[in-house]
Amino acid sequence: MHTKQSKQPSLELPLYQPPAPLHDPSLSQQLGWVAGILFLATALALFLLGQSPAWSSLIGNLSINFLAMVVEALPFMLIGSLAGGLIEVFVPVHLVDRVFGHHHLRSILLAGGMGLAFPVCECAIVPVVRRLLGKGVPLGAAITFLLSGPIVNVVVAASTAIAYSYNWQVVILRLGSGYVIAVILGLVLGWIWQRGQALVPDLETRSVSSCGHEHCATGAETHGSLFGRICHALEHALDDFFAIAFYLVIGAFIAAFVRSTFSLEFFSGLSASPWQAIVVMMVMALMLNLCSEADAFIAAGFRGLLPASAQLAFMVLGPMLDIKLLLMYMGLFRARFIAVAAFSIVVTVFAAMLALHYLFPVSF
Amino acid sequence: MPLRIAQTCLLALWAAFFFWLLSAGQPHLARILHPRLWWLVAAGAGIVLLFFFVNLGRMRRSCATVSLWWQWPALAIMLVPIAYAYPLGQARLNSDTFTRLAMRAQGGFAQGETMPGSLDVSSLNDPVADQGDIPLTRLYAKQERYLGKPVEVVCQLLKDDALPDGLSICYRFTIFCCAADARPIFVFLKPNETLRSQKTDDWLRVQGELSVHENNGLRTLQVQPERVEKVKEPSFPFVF
Repeated sequence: MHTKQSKQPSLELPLYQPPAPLHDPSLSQQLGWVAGILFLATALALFLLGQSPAWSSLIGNLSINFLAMVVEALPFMLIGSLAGGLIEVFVPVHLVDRVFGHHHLRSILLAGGMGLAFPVCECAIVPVVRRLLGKGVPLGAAITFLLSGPIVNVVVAASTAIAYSYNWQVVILRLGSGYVIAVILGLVLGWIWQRGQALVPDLETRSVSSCGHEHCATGAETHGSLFGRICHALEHALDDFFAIAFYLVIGAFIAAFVRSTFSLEFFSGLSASPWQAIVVMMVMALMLNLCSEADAFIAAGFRGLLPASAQLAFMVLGPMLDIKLLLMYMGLFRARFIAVAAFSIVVTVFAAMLALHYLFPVSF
Repeated sequence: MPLRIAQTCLLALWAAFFFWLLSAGQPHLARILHPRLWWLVAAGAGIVLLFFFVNLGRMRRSCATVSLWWQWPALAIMLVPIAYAYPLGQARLNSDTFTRLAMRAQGGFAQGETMPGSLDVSSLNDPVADQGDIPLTRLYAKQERYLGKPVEVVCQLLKDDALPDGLSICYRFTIFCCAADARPIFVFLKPNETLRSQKTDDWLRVQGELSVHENNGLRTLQVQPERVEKVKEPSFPFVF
């Protein structure tokens, strides 16, 4: 851990990194390469099938859902990449260290509410968290912000209020449970996992005083004029975009396929008991990949049909975990950590909603 | 260097795609994104264009640590959405989509009680708004104002043998953000001679008196068609 005393002003900005030689890809990169080819082959096969009358309706629906998600989410991701690049270059390490570095619990509690100041959706938050991790933000705090940011923010509060006809109980319960669950997960995962075990090698090897950037920045760019620093920030943003955007495309494609083939009736028919209803709505949240600003309108459609706890499960889990996010997290975390984190998120949300259902029964 | 060139070409394609959506491709954009979010596409176009110039600038001093061979699938995956803009030209949310997204109930479909909140409440007292095509969202939000009166709606037809009393469905989709959160909204149409000649998914302009259809506790608006005519698909197929 860096302390304020040990910091030199020159360390506050990313330092020049000598160009790394071309390296052979790791096994996971090779597997990713094969998976990419398989995805491309599948997308191409469906595209060609769509030219036949028998498949045109399904592929037409797929293309509408797929492009709707990508065209809506990609600009948010681009904005998030820009924000991440600016954080990388303009937020000094000592500030991050002062806010997050000294007190584990305080940093996590603070991170849980950061979405109120930085209202970002789940697509934009991934590149922002990537840069915050690179800046030395503790793993627990970064996880907490990653999970709570898309729920605990004013835009989501407003859309939830509108969807539920200004029933503020729903808004408070959604934001409150999102905050508590994110803090719990941040504490537990941050305590159990070391940064080196959790983060992808690219982030893990990056020290808090250097950007680890693959491009060959000159000293003038990192320590020079405002223009030079902005250019440097843009290059960081660009690298983040290329590191994460294709995960978004794959996730959106899978989600669009699910949305184009499964019916809502399929899900609602499975909800005979409260716990079953919660599970069904959680599965729906995982598969539908809705934006956190829009999901309340879908959840509200189940008013009177499903218990409040099941509707809340849908609205709390969706912004934390879905197919698209699962893939985007691969730009931040190792596969093993993602598997453990995903399981923890699902179990915690389920337990919290079940507790809410039986201990504090509400209806809306 | 080849990787940087490929990245630059990809960024140029995406910038062109976004700009196309905002200009000649607006009819396509209208079928996937709520108009109040079109600024996102403009923002995306601007940022991608900025990235294009940044990447162009760093091509000269490129020192990428990964070769194009290992990166081309990731870059090609980024082209998939642009390729799928081609089927989007003929693609429509239709009766298949309706039956997947609507909640089927005994003797028909259940109409969700919540409508997206983007309804322009400020215009509800506007007398002009009572004339011409009335959005289905408005009919439900202000139904006490229209019940028992003649209304005009533009919507798509769905004929379903499972519907009681020879009813048909007149449906649209309502969105809050994009087509991926589309939800069906509909009224029943009472049997009418003109409707017999119309096909499922045809776009119709229906004029008639608005009333309520109750079935097994489900309360749905219905129209007794007095005049039915086939019309072209509206430029904005969704209701807000």
